[in-house]
Amino acid sequence: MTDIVASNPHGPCIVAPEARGPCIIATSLTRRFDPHLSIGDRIAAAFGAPVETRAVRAVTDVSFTIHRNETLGLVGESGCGKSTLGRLVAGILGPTSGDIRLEGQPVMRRGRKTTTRIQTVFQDPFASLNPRRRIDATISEGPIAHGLITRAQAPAFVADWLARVGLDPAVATRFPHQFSGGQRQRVAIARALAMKPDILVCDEPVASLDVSIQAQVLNLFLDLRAALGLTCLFISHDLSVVRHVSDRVAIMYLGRIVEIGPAAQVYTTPRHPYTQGLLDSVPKLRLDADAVSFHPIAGELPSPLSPPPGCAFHPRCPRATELCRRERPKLAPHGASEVACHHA
Amino acid sequence: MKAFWREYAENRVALLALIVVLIIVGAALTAPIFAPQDPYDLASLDLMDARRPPGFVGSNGYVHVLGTDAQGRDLLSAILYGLRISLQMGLAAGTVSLAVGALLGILAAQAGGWVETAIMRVVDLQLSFPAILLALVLVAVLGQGKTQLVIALVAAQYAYFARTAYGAASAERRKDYVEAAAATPLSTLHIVFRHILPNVLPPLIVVATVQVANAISLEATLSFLGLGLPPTEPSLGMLIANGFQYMMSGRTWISVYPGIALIVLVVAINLVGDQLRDQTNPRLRR
Amino acid sequence: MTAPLLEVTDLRTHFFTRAGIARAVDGVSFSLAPGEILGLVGESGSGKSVTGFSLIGLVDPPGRIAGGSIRFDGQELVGLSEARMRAIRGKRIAMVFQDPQATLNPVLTIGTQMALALQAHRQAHGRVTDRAAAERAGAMLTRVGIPEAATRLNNYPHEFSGGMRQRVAIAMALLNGPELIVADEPTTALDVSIQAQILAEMKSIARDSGTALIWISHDLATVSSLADRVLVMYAGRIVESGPVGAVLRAPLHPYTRGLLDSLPAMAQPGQRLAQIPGSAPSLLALPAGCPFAPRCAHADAACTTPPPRIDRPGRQALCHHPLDAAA
Repeated sequence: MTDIVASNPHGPCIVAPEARGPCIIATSLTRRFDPHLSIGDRIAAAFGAPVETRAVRAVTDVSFTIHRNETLGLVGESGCGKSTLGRLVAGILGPTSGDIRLEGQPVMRRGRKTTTRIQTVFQDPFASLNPRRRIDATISEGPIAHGLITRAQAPAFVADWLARVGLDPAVATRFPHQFSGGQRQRVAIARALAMKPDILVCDEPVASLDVSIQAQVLNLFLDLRAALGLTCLFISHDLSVVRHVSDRVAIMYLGRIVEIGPAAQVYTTPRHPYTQGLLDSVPKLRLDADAVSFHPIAGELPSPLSPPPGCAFHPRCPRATELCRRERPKLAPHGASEVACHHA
Repeated sequence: MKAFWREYAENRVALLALIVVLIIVGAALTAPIFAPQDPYDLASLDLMDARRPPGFVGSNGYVHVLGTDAQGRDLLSAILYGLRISLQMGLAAGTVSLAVGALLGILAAQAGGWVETAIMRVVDLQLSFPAILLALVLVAVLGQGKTQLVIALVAAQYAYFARTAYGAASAERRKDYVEAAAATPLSTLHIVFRHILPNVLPPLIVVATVQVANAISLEATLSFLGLGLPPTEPSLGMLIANGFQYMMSGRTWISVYPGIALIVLVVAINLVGDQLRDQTNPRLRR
Repeated sequence: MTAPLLEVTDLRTHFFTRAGIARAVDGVSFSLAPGEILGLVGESGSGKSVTGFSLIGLVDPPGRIAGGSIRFDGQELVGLSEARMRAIRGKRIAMVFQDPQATLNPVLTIGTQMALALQAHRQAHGRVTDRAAAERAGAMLTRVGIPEAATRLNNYPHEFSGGMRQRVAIAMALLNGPELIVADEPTTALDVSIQAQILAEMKSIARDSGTALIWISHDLATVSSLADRVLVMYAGRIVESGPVGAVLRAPLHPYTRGLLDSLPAMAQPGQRLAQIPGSAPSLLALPAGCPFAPRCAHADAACTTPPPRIDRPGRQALCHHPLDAAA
């Protein structure tokens, strides 16, 4: 692969998000996925065949606010519903109940997204770019379709955006397969930002990239976020990446937010036993000669088809009591954070 | 694209098949120039020359390289003109089937719900009984003629395209790039035509190659049964049928040469289609 | 110092593709003591997985071992017949893959598969009765942290979660008491809480049974919490090797330094990360001299010639400008 990433000036990067009022408000968001049953499946189920008829509740009763110019990090393990929540915020999926508003306006109306102010960067840059379209078409189609630019303005517009994401504008007519993973993710970022969004939803944007490329893309993200004053929802399973880019962090477990608060507080003094276990599970760089001990969370993630009653974490929780088995804890303030735990 | 052809050329059989197809298509296209005789010009036929073996020198001085048929037509010319008809029918039926099938398949995948169920059940139903049966019934009802024949062939074949298009479109629409387009948001029509269709087309083109061959043999079958085109414009199937009654009397060339032409054409197209399928199937790629 | 269990010398595994020869592994040498845990770190295309596959003789065409030697317990593995290799693979050297589906047969129960694996190498154990096989398989499942092992033996692979399936694959690898396990990104696809459980178990298994372990990973942190020694690979070569703590505290090679500094955990939240510019070179068109030179801040004219081997006590690096000399 030829080196087509232009050198990135190491300018200072200002991340001083002043929370100027709420931007995104999500209220009691729930998203259920019903199994797709054919007539045959239904008949078989009626006769007791092992057909799964239960609905998956990917996201249950989630409320949160993202303030202007703030980045909210969303952390959780696979199956916790963080990607579904991201798709709800991005307007790709509609909620089963509850609603999500951008400055008071619903993001979706009658199953269709109503705004272009929220854009998305996806995890896999090999899948999120149409393999049969040249990248100039990929970047300019949204802005042309929404009248942000005319067809005649497109070449200069695309060249400008490629330069801003650190790619040589001469590569505009190439196809995605001619780029490396990191370069494709730059294209995907350009496509999202070309719509001039105020809010960027990033769903695991660096998860598929090598460490050295991940650093390049994160730096690009930090630069552009500061330059454009973006508000972000940053979803990742990687706790250190989320810590690095987020002002506030939400921890999800089995479809619910169990802890949400300022990043520094959540990481240094986690209140929820799950957050604590998660942070303890992350392998640390061993710079001293000390033996490393792990404090893994016991057990496995329960099936989202049949979440445990009471607190969903109680079967794995060292502090669980009878109360936890019986009653679901609600998010309650603890300092600057909110924690859903009876024993926080 | 260059790499694609280089890979294609590595399969000697497929390369040979492609050359054969190109030669046949070329011969069919240039038949009016190179064919020794215009078999449609009834005035140039002489019944005295009928059923002559290959190499016979006709009354008008022609050397009938492949002999003549029951009407005294030069068989080589008749085969070349017959190939024209067969290819015309095959290509027309293939193209229209592709368009109809792709439309229905993508519509079913995109719309979901009862539209999906309705379209795909009809398609499944049709795939479950022989295409020839439906074609026979339609030709019998609609009557003879090129348009009627194409309609019958399309009705018999669109289901293969619809199945393939539906499968491919269902897979494509779950991919992130389609979700990314929906998240922009772009209109459904834009997503279907600019994103899904271009990615569904390659497998359809592979199906189309094979289906053109199928349409040609289907048309030959119908013509052989006397339900195809009018006898004034004989296709390969009708040439075979015409010669069939003379098989027992030793005048085998009237049926055999058109038969060989048909087999070579259909097999060659199928081999090209197989290679295209193998090359576009990512699971078989090294 | 005991004799090394594994001694790899100048291993070269090349892929002879239509586009040219890709030198995926190009002159790799290292040794491994019995019971040692070795971390093999690198980014995609660095040759770390191909090195692992070379050790167990599973390099697929168009790739093949083009030169060098792999001595396992004194026996040369390069050029060994497939039959003799098969006797070693699974018995004395076992492999754990990133995707456990690769080793588990979907249509057989775990118990059946484990019994088959035991019987395949039965000469060493004498006859294996069904009961003995089930007992040993159950004990192994318990060993890797699978509860109710005896009943789980009757389950099929799809009845296990991803983390449990990887445990089953590890149990299968341990079954014949191998002296060496080669693990290729075994926890990459798993969640952190499950990864932590497996890392803890692998560590104690290696300690208890004296099994040597080669842990191939892109994640420096995972390797640092598990391994005794680390090898850092770049473009088919080992650019740095040494004890984990020493290498991470004071890397000799600028690439190792760059890799460490790229980690968000090493930076202040919200600040730019120290990034390595550019991307890894194509294995088909490696630059002359040091392959890292085009991305290296320390590179100069000398770096267009092959880098010398720098020897420090217990450590090595391939670099013209090792970082301890720069000061």
